[in-house]
Amino acid sequence: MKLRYGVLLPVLLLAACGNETTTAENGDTGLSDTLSGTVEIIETNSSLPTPFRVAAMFKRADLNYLPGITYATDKASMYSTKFQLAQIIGVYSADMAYSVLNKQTNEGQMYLKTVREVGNKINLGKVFDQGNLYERFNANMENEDSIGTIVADIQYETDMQLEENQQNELYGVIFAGAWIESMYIAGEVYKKEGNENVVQALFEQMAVLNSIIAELKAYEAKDPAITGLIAQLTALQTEFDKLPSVKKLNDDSELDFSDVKPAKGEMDPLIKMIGDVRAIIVKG
Amino acid sequence: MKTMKRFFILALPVLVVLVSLTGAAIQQAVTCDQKALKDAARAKLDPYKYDSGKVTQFRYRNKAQLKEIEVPVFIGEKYRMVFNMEAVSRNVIISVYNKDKETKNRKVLWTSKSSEPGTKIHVFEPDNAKFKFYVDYDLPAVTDSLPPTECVVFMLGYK
Repeated sequence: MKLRYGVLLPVLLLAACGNETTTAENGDTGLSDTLSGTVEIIETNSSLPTPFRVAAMFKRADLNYLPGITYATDKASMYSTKFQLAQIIGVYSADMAYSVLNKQTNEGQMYLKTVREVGNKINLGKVFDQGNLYERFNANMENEDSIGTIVADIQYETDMQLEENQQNELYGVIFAGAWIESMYIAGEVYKKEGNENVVQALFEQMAVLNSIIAELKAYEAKDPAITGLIAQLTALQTEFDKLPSVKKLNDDSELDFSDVKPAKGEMDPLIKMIGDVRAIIVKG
Repeated sequence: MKTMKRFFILALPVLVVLVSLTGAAIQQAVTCDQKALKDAARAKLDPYKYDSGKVTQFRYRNKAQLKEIEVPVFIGEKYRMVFNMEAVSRNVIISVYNKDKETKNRKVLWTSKSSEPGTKIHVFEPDNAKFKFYVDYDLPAVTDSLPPTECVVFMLGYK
């Protein structure tokens, strides 16, 4: 009897692992099996940029630094679940990028320290140990070129670590947190300064939202909390799609985001909504 | 003796499944060493900085398949795409488009069909980055008994 279980157990374990791998890594939903025709269409996946790059694009639109709009580092201890921690790493990464790109060295160092501490809680602490990334980042904070290279290294190590830890579902969650925070910062600065370049950048950045939603959907089954985030981001996308400028864009496939300029005030409801989503994210 | 015989009759199919599953798992580990594939792809990114990467697992079927990756980019930036196909044994075609698979009249910007035969690491530098590129993997129909799962590494770098 013992021997029979001894034979069966590894089979059952292997079968269980096999299922998980297929669903999580291949993202094969079974939906494609129902499609007819000669070619099956499998789901779309996304490859998302780094939070630092999003912040850099806003910087190019002359986004100024305003003190007090980023998220306080002393709130980091409020979060406990893997999902919450991933979201808040994203938020703090965007705040770090905003500070560093605006030469706010002390604040940038504080955010870097916080990102590392929170990262430790979800097994991402090792990222900064690779090639002295933490020290290199701290030492080069005022040199934008060097920081760009170091951030690229951090992103690469983070992606490797997520893969190694089989935490791929966190990739989209971290990026969603960072993206919302960057959009929130841009919206807040716009409300105070009225720089129309920032509105155009916000408009263009909305092109990324579909990709974030697609990435999150691919891993929705791995964490039920992802469903809530998808719902908030989908509502934002729906609101965006209602804008007259976006309708114009959708009606003409030759047009691209850079060909359309939103009218004054057109993006205001969306900026408010971004603030609401950010409030939900930081609430945990 | 009779009990032993019955046990072997019962255990045989289980052993067959075990051996084939283990074989598939080993094959998967051998063919898709993600770290090695990524490191090799990253070496080809230089002097571009790493922006993002994506490992795509293929599960071949007896029907041709299309798998698409959406790649958001920023307008006016210079990018390099690297595809590491070292773990792909079948005739998978990579194509980069300006629009997604649902859009009629989309333009193909590059295809692996234009690479030298036998190329395993493909490099493409698109002009005029707008907002998104779409990478399509065309998977052939497979009916043989070779491993059904392989993977490809995609990496994007920026200047």
